[in-house]
Amino acid sequence: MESRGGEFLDLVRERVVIYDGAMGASILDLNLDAAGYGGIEGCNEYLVFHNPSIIENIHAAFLEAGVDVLETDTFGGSRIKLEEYGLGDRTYEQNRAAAELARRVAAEFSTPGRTRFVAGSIGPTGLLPASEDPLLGNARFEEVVDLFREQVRGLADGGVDVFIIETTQDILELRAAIRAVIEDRERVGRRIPIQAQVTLDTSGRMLLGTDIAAVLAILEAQPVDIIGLNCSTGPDLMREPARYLGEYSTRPVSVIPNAGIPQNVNGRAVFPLQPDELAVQLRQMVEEFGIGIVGGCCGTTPEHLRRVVEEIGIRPAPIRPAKKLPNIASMTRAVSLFQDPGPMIVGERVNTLGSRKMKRLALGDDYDGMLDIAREQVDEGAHALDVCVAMTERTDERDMLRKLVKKLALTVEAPLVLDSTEPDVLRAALEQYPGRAVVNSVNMENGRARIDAILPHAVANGAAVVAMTIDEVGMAKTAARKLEVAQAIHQIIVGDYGLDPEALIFDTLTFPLSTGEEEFTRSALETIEGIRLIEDALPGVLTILGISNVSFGLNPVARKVVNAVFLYHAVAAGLDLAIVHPSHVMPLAEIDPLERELAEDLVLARRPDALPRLVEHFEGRAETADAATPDVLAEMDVATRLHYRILHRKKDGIEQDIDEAVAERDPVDVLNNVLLPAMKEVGDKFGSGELILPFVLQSAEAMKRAVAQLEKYLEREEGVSKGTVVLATVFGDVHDIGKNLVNTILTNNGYTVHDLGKQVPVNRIIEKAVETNATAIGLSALLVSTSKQMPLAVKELHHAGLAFPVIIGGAAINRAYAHRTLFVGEGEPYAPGVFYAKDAFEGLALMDQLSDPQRRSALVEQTIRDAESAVQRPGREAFSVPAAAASEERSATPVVSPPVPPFWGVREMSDVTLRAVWPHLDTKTLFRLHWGGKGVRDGAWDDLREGDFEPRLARMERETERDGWLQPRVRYGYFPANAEGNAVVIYAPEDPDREIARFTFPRQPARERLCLADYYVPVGQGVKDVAVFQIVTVGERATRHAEELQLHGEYSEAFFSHGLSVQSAEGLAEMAHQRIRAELGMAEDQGKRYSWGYPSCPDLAQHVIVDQLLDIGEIGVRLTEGFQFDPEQSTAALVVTHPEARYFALANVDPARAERGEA
Amino acid sequence: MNLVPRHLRRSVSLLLVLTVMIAAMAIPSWAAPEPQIVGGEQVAKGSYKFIVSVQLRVGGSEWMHWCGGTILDKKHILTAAHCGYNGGVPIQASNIRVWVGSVKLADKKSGFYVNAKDLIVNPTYNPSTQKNDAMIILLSKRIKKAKTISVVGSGSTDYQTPGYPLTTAGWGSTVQYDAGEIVPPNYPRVMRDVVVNVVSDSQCESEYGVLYASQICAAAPGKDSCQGDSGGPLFTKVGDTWIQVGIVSTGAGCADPEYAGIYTRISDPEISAFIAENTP
Repeated sequence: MESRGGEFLDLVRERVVIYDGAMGASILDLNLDAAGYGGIEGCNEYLVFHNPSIIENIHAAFLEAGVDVLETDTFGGSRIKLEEYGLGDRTYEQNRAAAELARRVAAEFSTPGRTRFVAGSIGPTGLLPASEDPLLGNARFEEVVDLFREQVRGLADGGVDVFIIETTQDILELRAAIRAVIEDRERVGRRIPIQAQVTLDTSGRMLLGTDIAAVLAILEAQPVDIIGLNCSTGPDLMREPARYLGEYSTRPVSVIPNAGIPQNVNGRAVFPLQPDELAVQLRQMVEEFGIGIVGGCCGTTPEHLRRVVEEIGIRPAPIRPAKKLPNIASMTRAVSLFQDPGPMIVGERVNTLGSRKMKRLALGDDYDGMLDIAREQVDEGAHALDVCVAMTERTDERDMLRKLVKKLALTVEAPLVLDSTEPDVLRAALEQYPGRAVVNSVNMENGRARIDAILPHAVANGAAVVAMTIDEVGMAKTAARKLEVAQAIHQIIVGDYGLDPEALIFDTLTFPLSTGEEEFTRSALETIEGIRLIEDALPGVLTILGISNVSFGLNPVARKVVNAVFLYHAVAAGLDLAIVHPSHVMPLAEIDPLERELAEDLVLARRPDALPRLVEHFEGRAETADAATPDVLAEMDVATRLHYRILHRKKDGIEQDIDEAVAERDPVDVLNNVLLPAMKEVGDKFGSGELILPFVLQSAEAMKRAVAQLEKYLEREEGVSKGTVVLATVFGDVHDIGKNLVNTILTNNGYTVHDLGKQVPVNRIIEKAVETNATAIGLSALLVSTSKQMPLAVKELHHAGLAFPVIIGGAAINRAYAHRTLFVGEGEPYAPGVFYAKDAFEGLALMDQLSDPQRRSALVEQTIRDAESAVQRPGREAFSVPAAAASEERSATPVVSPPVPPFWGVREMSDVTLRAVWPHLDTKTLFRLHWGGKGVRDGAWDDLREGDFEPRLARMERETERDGWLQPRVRYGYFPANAEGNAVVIYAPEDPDREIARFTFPRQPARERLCLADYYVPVGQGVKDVAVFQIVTVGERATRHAEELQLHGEYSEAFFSHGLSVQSAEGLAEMAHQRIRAELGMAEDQGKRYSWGYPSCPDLAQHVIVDQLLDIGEIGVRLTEGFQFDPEQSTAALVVTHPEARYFALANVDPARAERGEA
Repeated sequence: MNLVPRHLRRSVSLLLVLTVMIAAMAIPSWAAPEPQIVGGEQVAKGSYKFIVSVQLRVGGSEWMHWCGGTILDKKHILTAAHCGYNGGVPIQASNIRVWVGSVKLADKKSGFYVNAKDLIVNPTYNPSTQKNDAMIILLSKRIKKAKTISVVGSGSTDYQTPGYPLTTAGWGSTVQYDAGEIVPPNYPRVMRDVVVNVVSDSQCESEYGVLYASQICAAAPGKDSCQGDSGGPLFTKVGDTWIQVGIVSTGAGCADPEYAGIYTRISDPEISAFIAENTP
């Protein structure tokens, strides 16, 4: 059989590919009666037997519209679906016939220059294997795989070029369909690609609650070629998930929407979206989100697709990220294996080997009880759950784990770590678990046998794997041995099985320190050191440890201290995951210094008598050793006590303290000046890594009880609500403490608050705001990475033409961020406003203004004004010096005597050839930025660079020199100049007393207060300095060249040519700078070149002055209205000769601090 | 007066429609799958299990809520005749299914689908006047443990005296469509209900100019059935028994103070006979 799968994927890599439109809806439009269906009314699939011309005509109409890919008439072609019409026995035949029919039509429309492809459509079976539905949720994974097998065989034998598994509602069913395709590959002998598509409802989730991040985490671990969305809603509701896939999926992304949600209009079922709207919305998604495959689902006609083809045209395929997100997932959401701050907490209690309670429940088949333990662990802060039901008393571990896993998937949002030593148990659990799990564990106790037994299942089901550092010699006890074993395991798991290093998690083994045996005294230290060695030697891999084993056998009080010290040092060494009981971990800061020292002596093997000293110290201490605490509290005044209670999570008795506090002071004062500062300290400690999440949550509980008590004293404004606020922590962010506080404050001040919780997708926020006609939307984010959702939400609101003001806040947010977020387009503010609230009280103040129509408009105007002046918008207005740097006092930069130019005035540089430019080409930027190599790492990067980019560059350099499509030209000039305040004053070359131009540059408001003007001799010293300007271009033929290539379908060559031309202009600028240095007799590294648009000279409008001075039209460059150069492969610079010149930023922000949310 | 069937003319807001409309016009097309802005009465879980959502297939696996209906017995659903037509064209039975057992659409934890086997349109139905607007859906399989509703007897005048309070309920858009204009859909996922009062025939006839014997009117200030409620019941509860008096059929606008809602009168002998003959 001829194989077009590879050709199809080549096309996908080359340009945006367009699928056809609705099959089912097209048939419905014909309104066939029972006879029209050949007696099998409603069975679209039967038409390929009964009246194939109907299907042929539909295919032909879409191909005439210009689409690239047809879908076969097999959406309901699985055995179970055909069975409904009594056609189950003809499953293979039907699919094969439909594929052959589509291939025939596609062949008719194919030309030597353009192949039309056929996608084998596989729709859902209607079963929901991940659910507990009594009818739909019973089928085992393997049974669901079987339901797809015949369909897959028929489609493959009928010659489809790609499988499209679509409209999936249950992610586990999708995995089963993928499995059926993969298992058929050997039989069919060719690799037919897989396009896996899910259907989300209007809330952005699949039917059983899977969100888009979980979908991606699960599918990235599956052998699929394209990941996408289809059907169910129109494109507008798909924007948010499409954006997510577009941003993070390493595989090409498809979006195949309905023509809107069907409506009943005058008694007619109508898909509301018109062809133009569909086409425009799809184009926008291609442009904005990097969607590479589009098409139409229900309600899309050939006319819809004709417009899509016109609107999209021939567009190069978007570039995909090279690196997968390191996520695991439950059925509902994804969780990063790299927690920040770390480690990822794996709850240890859902384990019959580690918890007596769990074992008792498991022996009694008490699943509800086991689920309660799981929920508790998650509430206490576990990011994932270790699950183990192994028991010597029972032999049905496989069935038990499968059943428990199914229930857990439907109950808890935390992903699972499946803990068993039995391959068949792990297999059963993996095949039942809809999410992306972690397998715990493999080792090399019996050589590679265990790995070989388990890895195939782990890989097939997309799981990450824990590997213990155990080999035939035994458990590795020294750091060096741990590394040695890890390397051997890595060789097999990454080398032979091709698992991503990021899915391989080493357990460096924890041994009890209580035995006192010489052999183990250094064991904790070796374990910690092992983490360091492994993470250094094996890039990408992760590490995990069960913590509590380290203190096994010690007094319970001592155990907590030793566990805490061990965890602290392991995390410091790089530990990524810790298996612990989340609420039992003690923060290091709370440990008595003496006890910490005793524990560290033991863990770090600092002294030989560490164990006896520790044992002696804790001798007789009972678990209620908190005895000291009440005394501590009794001595404090009530405010200090409240602060202490919140910080140290001592919630019992906090109500009485509140009562006491309000007897002395105003309740609002208690809230503002006692409780909130305590919570802030908790947040700060979390940010700096001193506290892990579970503690923060416990502090929040204490806070909640305090506030609940305080509310009894706070005056509540009864009656009419002052306004309505929709609050949410943005998607991807699980931190909602700050937001909850905002809720408390606003509610207590008379506002109606709709708190949507955390991890809320933009769609839902907007929906709720519309539904409640909100006065404003409040968004919170803790992390810099998730705060990106805020501008997105604002853009979506703007896109939808809505008018809700947005208040943003959270640790990652500052006023400047709010200013930037306000702008939805080039200089266009979101008219209802985006406001920054630094805390709940500023939020309250903002709400008070927003809910008052008069004050509201003033606030909005003021905010937009502030934002406009704060956000530097080069090219719109002359740059204004920030207020803070209003003083023009010169920095400490010394005045140096100027160099002597070879001439005064302007010339074109001679002898400028491409050959002279090449040595100045910055290949790193070219390869990484312009040629899409960003994110490729290690061996893959070496392969790409040496195997493709470098030879390609050599070839292109040769061809470019020969064909002359890059024509380097340089114009430059030397002008007399002096500094005056923040300005560089330029004088006429022929008359050095006459000012002909003036460039004003911003000055740093703080630090060294640098300004470019300081690099020039000030006026009034009787000496004229030299100002040097240059403009370079590689000519307008470069743009034309790329366009021509594009037109001839040489998309990748066009892409590479464009990149080369842009980077050549930079290389040319560097070359020109070197020549200028030489002309001035300067060292190769003296001075710097400043281009406009960068922080120290931000104002692009100054290009106008550059044009006046250099007359850039002489070398074929002109300025656009936005003060950009045309052709774009041109760049201008101010060449500064001062030996101390350097690049500097204007704002005083330390990026590292900003990333932690401290800015 | 141009009379249009209820699933054409009205969407299902059983509520304060005027306020709704003003609020709803601002809703963009992608918003609010479960609109609550209108303040209508969302019914409690487990209510009215005899009411079903009649759904229309619009694509391979895409269905939409189309009309309401009631369970007469394990195999028969009563709805409006005009629900059997899509844009004036008769709908094939294979493109109709009903959602049974839950007030929340698509909530498979509590409800399920049953396919239609046949659509039996009342032979005396007149599509242009909406006279005798009734249809029975024959199901492809029996509904186990079906909760049914009784219909009022032929010729009975019970519960039909002017002013009598009756309930009507359903899922439909809370937005009214004007002819020819596509207004964004606003389907609630959870059923809503409202109480209206029977309007005298003479009053209703004076409003519309013409009223057939097989029609009964009901209204209440600011309350009405609306588009998408078509086929659903006008009913009451006597003791433990649910009794259906009418089928949501047509009307001018929704909750227009000058026009009551028009329902098919089940006690009309022609309608009663149609139901009896087709529910053996």
